[in-house]
Amino acid sequence: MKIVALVKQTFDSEAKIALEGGKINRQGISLIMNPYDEYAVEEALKLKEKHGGEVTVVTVGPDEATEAVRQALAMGADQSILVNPGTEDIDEYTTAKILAKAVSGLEYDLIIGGFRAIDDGSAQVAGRVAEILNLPVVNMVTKLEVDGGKAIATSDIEGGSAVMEVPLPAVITAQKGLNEPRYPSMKGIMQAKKKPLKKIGLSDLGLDASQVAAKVKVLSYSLPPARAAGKIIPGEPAEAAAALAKALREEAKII
Amino acid sequence: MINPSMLSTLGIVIFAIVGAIALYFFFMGAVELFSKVTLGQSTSRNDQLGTRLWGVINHAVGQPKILRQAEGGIMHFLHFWGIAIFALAIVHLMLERLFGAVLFRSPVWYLIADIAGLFALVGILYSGFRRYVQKVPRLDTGSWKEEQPIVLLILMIALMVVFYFLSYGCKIVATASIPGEPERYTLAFISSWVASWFVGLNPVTARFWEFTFWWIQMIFAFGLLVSFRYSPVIHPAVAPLNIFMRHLGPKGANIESINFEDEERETFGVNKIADFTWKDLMDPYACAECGRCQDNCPAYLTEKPLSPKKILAEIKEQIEETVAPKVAVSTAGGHISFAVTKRAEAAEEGEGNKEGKVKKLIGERISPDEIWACTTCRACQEECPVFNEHIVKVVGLRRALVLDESDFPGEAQLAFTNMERNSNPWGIGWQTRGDWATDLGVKVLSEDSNVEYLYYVGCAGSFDERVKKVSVSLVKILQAAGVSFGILGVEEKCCGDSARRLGNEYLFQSLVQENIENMLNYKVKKIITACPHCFNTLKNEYPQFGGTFEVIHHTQLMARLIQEGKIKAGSGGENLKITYHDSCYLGRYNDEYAAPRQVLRAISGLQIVEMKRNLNKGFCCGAGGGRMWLEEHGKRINTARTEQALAVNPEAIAVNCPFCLTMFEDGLKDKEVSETIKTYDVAELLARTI
Repeated sequence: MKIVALVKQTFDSEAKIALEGGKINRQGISLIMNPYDEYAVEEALKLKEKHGGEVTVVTVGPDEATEAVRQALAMGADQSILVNPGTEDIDEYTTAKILAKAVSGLEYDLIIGGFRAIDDGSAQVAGRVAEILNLPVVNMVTKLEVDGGKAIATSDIEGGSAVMEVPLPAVITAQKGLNEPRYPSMKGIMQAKKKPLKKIGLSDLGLDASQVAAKVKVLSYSLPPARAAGKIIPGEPAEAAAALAKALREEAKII
Repeated sequence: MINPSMLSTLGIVIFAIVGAIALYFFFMGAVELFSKVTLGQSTSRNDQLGTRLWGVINHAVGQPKILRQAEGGIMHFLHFWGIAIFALAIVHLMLERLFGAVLFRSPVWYLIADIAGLFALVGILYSGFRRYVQKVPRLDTGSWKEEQPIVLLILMIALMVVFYFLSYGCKIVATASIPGEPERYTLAFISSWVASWFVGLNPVTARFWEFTFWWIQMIFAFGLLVSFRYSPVIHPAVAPLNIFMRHLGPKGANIESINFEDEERETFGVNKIADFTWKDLMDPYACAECGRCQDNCPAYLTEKPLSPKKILAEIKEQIEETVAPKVAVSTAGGHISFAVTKRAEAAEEGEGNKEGKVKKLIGERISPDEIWACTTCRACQEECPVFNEHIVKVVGLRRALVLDESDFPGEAQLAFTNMERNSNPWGIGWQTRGDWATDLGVKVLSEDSNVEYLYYVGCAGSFDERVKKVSVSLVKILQAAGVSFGILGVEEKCCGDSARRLGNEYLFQSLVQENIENMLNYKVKKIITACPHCFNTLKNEYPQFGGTFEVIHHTQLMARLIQEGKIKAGSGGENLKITYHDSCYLGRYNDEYAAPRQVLRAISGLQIVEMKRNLNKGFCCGAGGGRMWLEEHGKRINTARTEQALAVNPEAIAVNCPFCLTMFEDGLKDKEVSETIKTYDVAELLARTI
């Protein structure tokens, strides 16, 4: 079966984010493959190992996103496409539109991506791609089985889980718990250097900037307030407990 | 006059034929062993020949390693010296039989020969007692089938000695009336005692028995040569060679690097026996399975599946099953040549245990649980009398699991990813690496690199809340002593010790290259470190990659500062009974036992009590070899070590390593004494007296 995995390069979760001139200062920030997309790539590889076929990784981002794509190739994906939109001002609409266009030129039985990216956390892109390609979508999948022309997916829902069936091709989004992504072997890393990595621009897809112009504009960024230091209340247990109750009521206003 | 002890011409002919056959088997055995061992990868062990030879002499004559364990040591000493000298006595007699030549007529020689024979017999009896009566645990006495080769070997030696004495006893009787002969044996108390059994035989009959017993003795001697080809017990022949080929140079520089530039290379770890080096394949043949390694192995002693001895035995079995060479001799064209055919070529190995196929080395022969249980503490190698190298084998097998199979514990994967992304195993943002030193007035090299020392802090000292206090203490000491130093701050990366020992050589090398580049950039010459893992890696392993620095552990520097009077150790304000724990990487790997103790002794109020397992017998805390980052199942090594410390009733425990610090604090919590007994780094104890 032919599987397309959608990946995004994001900031490392431990990265120290700083603002400069109203924008995020990207200087010195470690970049990683979005962890939810790692689950997606791993699941794609598992399906390939079970059913045969090939895995194509598609990403939208600047040239430095090559690193994330290489990781997917080192894990075992067969080929990849990186579309550089030529601008940093993109939104979910832009990304989905480009991805859909890139994917529509490929053969596929299944499209899989992370259900959200850890940077903007909007959880929109895979769903939008499904919409544009007119495909069914199952979100936040923690278990996936593909058999014949259909997929059985267990999806996280509020307070529980639901088992759903969709005909293929379909879009699946990965939730934590779907699998444990593999660590690339040396053989994988060596082979990844030789695997096809197609870097293209909008014009190669027959798109122009106006067709994919962002519909959402970020007005400003702000960092969360620094966490205040904890407070230790000294004294005898009874006194300290009384002081704590008082502080919770009067200062924190939570009881 | 023809010496009547000489063989007849027919006897000499028969002797020559039998001897030639025995030598043929011995030679073929050697050729086959050579072909088995050379299946391995190349490694260089032919430098410093003088040092190598001296090592063989030292360890063969004095046997200091074997004598570390008194009972087994005495047993071996009797065996070795008994049989070695006795072998000369056999040759001596052989020369007399063949050529009528008597090299030594002095009665002292016959005394020595008798004593040697006695040593051998006593040693053999004692070894049997240890093996089958005492059943010393480390010997792991096996089933009768497993014991057969050992019993056969020992029995042949014993009977060889017994028949020598019988032969000499009859010889003394037969030659009693020949002038000059009886004088030779005046001191040979055993031979003379045996002769007393035969007194009264007429010289002709005595002569007959003398020769009969001698032939039997020679059959056993030749049998020993033949057995070399078929017996798995060839320790006596290989051990001296193995000592000669031992690893020289720093003990901490034993792991060989991988050249990742080699595009042809397809595998990077030890997936099959042919991936080991030839030295790795020779080690198991030198092994006598004495079990000193496992007696000191923290994993084995806490009931993990690992035994260093067993790993070697499994490798030997794998070689035997894979190779089992047949040697064909041909004399075509007037040249003798040997064609060695192997039952299964190395390539077939690893196909799994299907029809006639050899077992898989990892999984079927050695389990991953064994491979991951090792803390690389080096206690096994410290004890091993034949200088076997267990740890490089474990690292090679781990490399196969990590680099080739990508099949290893999830906790290790997390540690690797953390080291890749944030240059520390905890995965804390790399930008905060230097934060602990803010407000301490510590120079950062990117701002001012004009310092004498780089203080390489390491990951624990930078990110672990508890260990940061050690870093702060050391800074206080260095500043008080006026030492010129600076740190790399955010530019410092993990030293790579854990990555390398967990088998991730690729990650290790990328960390090493970044660190060396930074250090060379700032023209770093001398490095201080408070972590023995960083210390060993920077000092002994970085030179493999072009980073040669003068590296000093903080306990060594503190000892020097105290000695030079630059630091005046005062009193801690309290009297503490303290026990000091030797870390593996400062102790066994780098032989530094004195400096930390000197520092502790300089602090007034401290009373030092030693644990039973200390110095080079020190017991690992359980965190080495990357085990710091892995789950431990079953009885925990740190709990075992904490119990050993508590056995001497200390009020505090002193350590020189951040990992040991963590492990002891956890151990003390486990034993529910963490409120009353604290763990300190040596630097903390010194800093609070300043």
